[in-house]
Amino acid sequence: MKIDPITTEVIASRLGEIASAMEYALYHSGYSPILRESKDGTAGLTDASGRAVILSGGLQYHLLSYEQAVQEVRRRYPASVMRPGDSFVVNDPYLAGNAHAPDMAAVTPAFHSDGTLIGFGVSIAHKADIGGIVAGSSGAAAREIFHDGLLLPAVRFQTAAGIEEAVEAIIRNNSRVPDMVLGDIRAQVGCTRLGAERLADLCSEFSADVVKSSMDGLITVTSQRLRDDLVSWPDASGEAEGFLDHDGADKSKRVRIHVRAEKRGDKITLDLSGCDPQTVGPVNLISTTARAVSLLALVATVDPTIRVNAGLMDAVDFIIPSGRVVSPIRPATVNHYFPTAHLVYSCVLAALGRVNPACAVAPSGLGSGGVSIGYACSRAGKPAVLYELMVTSLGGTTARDGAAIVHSMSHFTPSTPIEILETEYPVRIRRFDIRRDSAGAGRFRGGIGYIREYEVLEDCVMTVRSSNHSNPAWGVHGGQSPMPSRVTLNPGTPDQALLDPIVTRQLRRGDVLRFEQSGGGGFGIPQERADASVLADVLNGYVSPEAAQRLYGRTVAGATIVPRTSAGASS
Amino acid sequence: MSSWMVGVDTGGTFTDLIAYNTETGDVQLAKVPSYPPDPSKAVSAAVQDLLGRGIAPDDVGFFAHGTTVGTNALLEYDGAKTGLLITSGFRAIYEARGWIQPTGSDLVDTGYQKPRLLVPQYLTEEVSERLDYKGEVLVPLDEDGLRQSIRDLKRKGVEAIAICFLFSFLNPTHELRAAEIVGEEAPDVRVSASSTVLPVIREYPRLSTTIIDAYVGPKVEGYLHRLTKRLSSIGVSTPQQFLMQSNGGLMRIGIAARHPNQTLLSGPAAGIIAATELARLASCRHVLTFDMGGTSADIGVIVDGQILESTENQIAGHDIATPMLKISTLGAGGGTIAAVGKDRLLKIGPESSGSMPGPVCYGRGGTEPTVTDANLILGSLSPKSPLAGSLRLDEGGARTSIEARIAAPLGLTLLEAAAGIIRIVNTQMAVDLRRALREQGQDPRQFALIAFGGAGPLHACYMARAIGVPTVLVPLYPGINCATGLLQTAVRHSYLRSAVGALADFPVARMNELFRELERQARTEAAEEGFDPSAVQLSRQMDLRYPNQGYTLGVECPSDDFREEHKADLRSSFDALHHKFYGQAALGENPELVTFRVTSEIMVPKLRTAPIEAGTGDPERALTGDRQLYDVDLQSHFVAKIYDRKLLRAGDIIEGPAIVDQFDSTTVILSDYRASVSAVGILALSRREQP
Repeated sequence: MKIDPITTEVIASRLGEIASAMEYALYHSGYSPILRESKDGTAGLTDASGRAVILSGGLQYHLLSYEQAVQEVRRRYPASVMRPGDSFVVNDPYLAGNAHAPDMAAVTPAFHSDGTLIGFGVSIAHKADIGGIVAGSSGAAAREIFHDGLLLPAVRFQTAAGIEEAVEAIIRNNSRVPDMVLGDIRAQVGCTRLGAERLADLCSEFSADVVKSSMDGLITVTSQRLRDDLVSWPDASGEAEGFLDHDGADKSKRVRIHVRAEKRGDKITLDLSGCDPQTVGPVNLISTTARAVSLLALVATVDPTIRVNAGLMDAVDFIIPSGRVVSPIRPATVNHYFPTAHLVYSCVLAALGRVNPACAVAPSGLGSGGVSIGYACSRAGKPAVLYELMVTSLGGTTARDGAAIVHSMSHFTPSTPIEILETEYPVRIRRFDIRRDSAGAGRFRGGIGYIREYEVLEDCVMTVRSSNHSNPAWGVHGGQSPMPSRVTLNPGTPDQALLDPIVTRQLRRGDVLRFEQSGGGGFGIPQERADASVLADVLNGYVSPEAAQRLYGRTVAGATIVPRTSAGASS
Repeated sequence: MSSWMVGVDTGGTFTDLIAYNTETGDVQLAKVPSYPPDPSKAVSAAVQDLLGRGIAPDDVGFFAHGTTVGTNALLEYDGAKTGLLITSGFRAIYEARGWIQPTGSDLVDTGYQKPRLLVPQYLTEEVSERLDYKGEVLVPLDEDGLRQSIRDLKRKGVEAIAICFLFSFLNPTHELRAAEIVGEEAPDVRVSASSTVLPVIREYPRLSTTIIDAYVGPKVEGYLHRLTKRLSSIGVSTPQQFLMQSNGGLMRIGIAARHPNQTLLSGPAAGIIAATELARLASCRHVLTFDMGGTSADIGVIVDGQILESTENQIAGHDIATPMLKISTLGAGGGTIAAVGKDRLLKIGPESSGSMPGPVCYGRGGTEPTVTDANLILGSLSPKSPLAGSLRLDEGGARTSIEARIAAPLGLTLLEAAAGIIRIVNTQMAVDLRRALREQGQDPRQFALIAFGGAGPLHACYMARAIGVPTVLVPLYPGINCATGLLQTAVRHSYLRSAVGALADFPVARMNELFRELERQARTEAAEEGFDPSAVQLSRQMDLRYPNQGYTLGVECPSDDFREEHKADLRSSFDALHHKFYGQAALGENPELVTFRVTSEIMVPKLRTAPIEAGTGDPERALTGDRQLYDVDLQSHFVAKIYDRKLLRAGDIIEGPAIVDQFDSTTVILSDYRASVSAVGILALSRREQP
């Protein structure tokens, strides 16, 4: 197929515009703070078969869930019964491939004026509560997916005549905050309808054939670009493994993620069969998302400017037997999937770095997560939940230190400013500091981690959802591991206690919760780091003089450094 | 006597001057090459050019200037060595950069970097002090420790110090005392305290803004000092000397050194001001501004003559919360480079050949094809019409480059390649223009597009076609529009102070107290600027939000005392505004006050656009020839008549396809458009009725 290098680029800009208009509508018409402010969602377009052409938003690993959600809709609503004006919702991870039950998928078909199906407007976004054993529908005590709340198969939510009252009633009856959730679903469905309409308009402007062939072209181009780059890689294989501290149910046992990558010609095989069996606790990762984060790791390694769309799939064969922690069988619970997804991403990066050492980078720190602190009474006099996300930092690369304090792989919206937090909640932030020596040492070190301390000023219930307090990320090419993330209750007092990564606790007024977040992994041998960089790190407080001595083999006294000797360089 | 007003705008390539005689209405223009190492040299050269035309220095009674000195210091990391004083324990606020997170392809870029810290951690000193959320002291200021920290910073050679303590917007005592101690310990060091620079809630934007203020401060201060010296050395000594601020208002040069953070969008803001004036003259309520220059295109939206302000701005990647005119910028200009991507699709930008070497056709050593080179191949530009009166374009160079780097690798003809470059850049710009409208909930059919900058009028018809705007307006001097705007505004300052609380419960007495305090500040500063306090017009605004929202919207308040019964009006104004911008309002929720704002305005003389000579309607007198013009949408060649803008008269009608050439720009009128010349010389382009 001959791809028009100009029209395809023009259509790509226009599809990008539609996706960002959908995203804008999603965030600005949503009802709940989680949608309006956290931006925990994506919106985009697929072709008629469901292949994702473009996604807008920070969670690009929704890529393959779009396709599965569309296919689930088409399975239940074949062409004969799907009509212009219809919109559908589905949130069962085992049907639609969404990462967990609160991530609702909305799907609206786009029909050209002549009645042909062009594609779909799709959005996946987090819902505040869809039932289950705890508020928020992500209970640490969940042992099967039914504990995570309402599981909708693909159902018709809206027709040209309006919203299906029965479906709304079912959802309403299954949420602790029904107004908020229904407000958000309407916004989300609305944004997919907008996307479908705009896609149809684009067909009127350019012709359906031009739009369809451009969508095909964009998918082909992504696949072709990935394969072209892979051809230049050596034919080789590599393995990597990493561990979660435990599954949340059996705290005595680590959970293993293992990836074997093998590159032949212009294709890669990713074999995840070495991962542990699915777990009883909620750390399972639906295989659709496991594959999607693996594809993102591949793009990250090959070239991050490749357009992310369904074309990525063509270059990869997956081996993922079912029943693993990365391919659970219903009814395993999946609500705490994120640390597993992050670990799979990191392991794929590592395995690919072994296939092609020239492309190796150190991983970001593990142990990102969140904390929620529930008060019976906020400053405004109402029950309130303070919710904050914790991030880590990126790893070192062949040319640079890792960036500090970012999510790798995906992003949500930043946490709340300290001055707003203290104004709205009975809490005092005692520290928000850089965490010295938390970055993995290396010729290029990881980004620095941080410390954040909360003093609660009223009794409250606190839930920590983190991971990898005992199993940090690793260094690459001689670089070192970063310090692991950890959470301490009342540090420096007689009742100081290290907390588990997944824990719920009652806190008393005056209790202090300290989060120490992991830095990124180190790249290359630390002794080879430039004198000036080691000195700057010590002066800036990123590295202690002791660590400069112990890890980098350098003596820093005052504002001067004893330069690296030739013996130091070769050791 | 003192009847000339002079506006000088420093641009990347040229420094533009416009002079206006308030008595005769006479207008003079000048364009001189910019001199980046010391832009004041080019400013003074432009003024001297004007004085060489028989205007005495004493005749200059008003001088206004748009500068890029602060912006360049940020872009090039060429600011002062700056120290930072923060509340002890909070080093990560700046390190995290407000939790800036990657987007787009940066999401999975393992080499992603945040913008470099303007103040490294080793120049950051922690100060033992802490206020709570009511502004009450939890930990008193440790003055001895602070003195030691300042001495350390001084020893390390800092030229400026930024101070930002938590909750200082509620209670500035600690910051002000710290500033005093800096004055005692390091009197030569310039101080920026966050409670003075921008006393608003949210520690990171306040911190980042204060750091920028400190970082560019000494540069801006030194520059203004040199500038006033140069002006007085050539005899221009009027006390009416002003600098354009990012909010579209002027401030007296004498006090500008106090507010360097307000100078960063000086030039682009002036362009928007000129567009607002043009919209008024053309009786257009709503306009979209499209300022396309050599490296970028700036877009602004003016609704009902009002320009939206934004407090969430980034300059060179650095966050700055100073209220500024909302201008979105995309990397699409005449010098934007075209290349075949790794995916073998044609890519335009964001890289630019800048002003040096510039497009291939400039013949200054550029080798990579640009938008300007494509425009030359398509006949929008011509080797026969030199740019800025002197720059002859090398068509052969443009052809060779597009053929070798675009057409051959993609298997296209030269024409297809050049048209492809323009189609793609047009698409990108149209996408951003539509986005700017959409984000304000506006309908393009209600708007006129005002095109300026050297390249704006070249692409304007394509933009109008693509976004559905019925009319395009091209000012008389599109290439010096920013300089023009310098002479069309007032002195304007904003005074802000955050005080958070539910609107329903917020004591009215406290509101009035906050407003009155801000008004006192406004009057004091006006007096210091040398204005009669009675000439100051004050207006009050409150920024509100729904609970938990991260963004606020500003609502006008009555200028007299606020009373309990005003709250309902305020609330419904806010609901309405929210509905307008976001398509919905949370009517059940009780909005919260976040920031109080007083804006002061002082009128100064303005350039009044005079009518031009009337013609017969027939532009024949201005006809200079014709050339082949390729329309990239219709994919066909047309013979376009070429007119000289100088010779156009009021009432002239030009039928497209046509080209209007002038000293500072070229306007392309496509085949389905017709242009008419207004009484004041504005070129108004609109689509002809379809036959």
